[in-house]
Amino acid sequence: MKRENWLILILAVVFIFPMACAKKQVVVPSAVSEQPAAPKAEAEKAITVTGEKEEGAVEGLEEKISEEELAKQEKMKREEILKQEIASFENEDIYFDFDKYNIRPDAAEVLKRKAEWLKQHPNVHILIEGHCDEWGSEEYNLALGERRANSTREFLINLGVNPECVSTISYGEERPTVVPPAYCENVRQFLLNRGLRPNHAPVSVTGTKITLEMINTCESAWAKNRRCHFVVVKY
Amino acid sequence: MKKISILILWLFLWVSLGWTRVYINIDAPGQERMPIAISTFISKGDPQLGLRAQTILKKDLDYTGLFSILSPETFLEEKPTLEVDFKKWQLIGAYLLIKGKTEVKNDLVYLELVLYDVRKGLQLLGKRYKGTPRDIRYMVHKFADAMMEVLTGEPGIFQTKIAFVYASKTRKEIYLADFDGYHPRALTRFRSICLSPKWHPKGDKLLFTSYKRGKPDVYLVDLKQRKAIRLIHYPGLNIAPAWSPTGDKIAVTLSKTGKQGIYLVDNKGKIIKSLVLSSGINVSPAWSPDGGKLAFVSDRSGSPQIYVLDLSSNRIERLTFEGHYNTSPAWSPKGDFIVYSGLKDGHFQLFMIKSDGSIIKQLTYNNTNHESPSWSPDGHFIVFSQDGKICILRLGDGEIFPIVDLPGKQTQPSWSPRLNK
Repeated sequence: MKRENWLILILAVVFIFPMACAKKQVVVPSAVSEQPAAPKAEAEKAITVTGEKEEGAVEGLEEKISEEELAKQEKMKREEILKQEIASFENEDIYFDFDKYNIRPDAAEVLKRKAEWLKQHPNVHILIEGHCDEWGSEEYNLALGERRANSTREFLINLGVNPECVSTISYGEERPTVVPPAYCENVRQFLLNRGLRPNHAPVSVTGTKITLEMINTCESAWAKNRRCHFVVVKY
Repeated sequence: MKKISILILWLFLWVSLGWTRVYINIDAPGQERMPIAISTFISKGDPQLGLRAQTILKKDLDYTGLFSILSPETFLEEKPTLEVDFKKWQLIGAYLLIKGKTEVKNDLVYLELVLYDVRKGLQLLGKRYKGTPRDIRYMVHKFADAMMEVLTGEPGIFQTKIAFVYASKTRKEIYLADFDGYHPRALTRFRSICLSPKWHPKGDKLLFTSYKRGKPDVYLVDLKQRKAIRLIHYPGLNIAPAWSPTGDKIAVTLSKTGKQGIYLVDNKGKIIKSLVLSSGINVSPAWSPDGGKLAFVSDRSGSPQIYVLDLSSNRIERLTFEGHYNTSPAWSPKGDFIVYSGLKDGHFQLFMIKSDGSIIKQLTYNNTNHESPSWSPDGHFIVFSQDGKICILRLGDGEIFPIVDLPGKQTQPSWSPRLNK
């Protein structure tokens, strides 16, 4: 074999081998599942070794420790406050109209507050989850959910939030926060027969099996699922 | 001159023979069902086996909607025999007759099936199969396929499968079942959200979308090796994959640039080029059987509608103009129609539109949701999900029947190509 050929062969092995490894292949007899992550045992072992206590601490370090303790407590307090702020940040979703992904005025209010907080905490990284109600096809809703997440992200960036701290994901209609009661199917039929979409004007229900209460329940369930949810992934 | 007249005579003969060969023209509307008698099968060894084979065959024939199966009460035969007295069958109005025999020898099952034309007194088909007792169902399906080929000129769909999404409270997995819903079983155990299964045109692989690694990526399952790999995983969405008819390319929706577009990728997941990159939502690509066109869903007009991209000219034309919410296109195997799911009076109904947009037919009417249609390989059936149940629509007579008997919700069915082993 010529020298060049050997070189090509070695290069091929060097490049192709990691590529082949990138795709995990697993053989499972009955159903197909993906390979589990690297065995945990090794990692745990490593932790227990370094975590062993050093006995016989030197005297005279007590004062220093108490100072450190104070700083620690201060830090913990700050962390506690931050955690509460994160919880309230994550608790507040923004909502969208049916089959739409533009930011509504009520959502804009929420986003302005969120943007201020994010700018005060430049270390915080967030994930915006786009969600949809169950009207329409799964595939279309995956795309719609991403549109919602993207327009939310754009809105935050326009308010001065660092783009690198905001990522998005779409869950389409796969993770509804509220599952509407079964009778909502009839309510939807009722509304559509009157040419109404979600977010409609007041409607008369006299002479039907539908009550205003039922309509409100369904409407609010659907509306709650047309949302973006916020998750703090790093702080 | 003489030569030409002989040629014409031959041609005439050939054409007329061709006509007589096809007993049932499935595409002709308003056909009467062909009366068929299934004589009691002879069982040697295990008496239950003959009955089982007979029941499976009867169900296969019922599925097609092309036959009226005569009641055994009118049969003049005193006891099961392989001999045929055609007169006895003519008298009760049978056009076709099936005789069968099962035999168990050394733990192996032998199945013999013969199809007769009663009026002509002819044997049309005779087959003998061997296998384990568990194989009996697939031997009968094999015969039913051969029988359909003799009678209609095209094999049936009795050796096909249907993939679908099975939803439990916390997760969605890909399942497989036979064409009739028999033996539903889990294909994936990802403990995650799995969506949109699509068959490879050879029937040995499936693509689907899963959140297994936290975001929607496209996975490939090899059915023979029972392996799953993450095939397409660009930043953002990787959803709604569809194999080209040749099986070497995949159309898929990606959003790696921030815009959602339909891309063409190769079998390794590498992008070849972008196909649709206009602003707005572009999802659910469906190939024409010749591979020259791609139907897809876009909201560029303000609401989801079906569009068709011509791959040679790169021109995009809107196909659907009726209704405000049309999704999930699927191209018929012959290429003449596209079936889709459209919102009408509060429910999703199935519609069939000529691929040039000239004719629209509504296929379903009742007050439930009919979604995610997929064609059978012979183009005579459509599988879809009806409010979370997998159902078959028989195009010949519009009959709808459920096939998969599972609790919970099942959605997004995808019909395999023929899987003759």
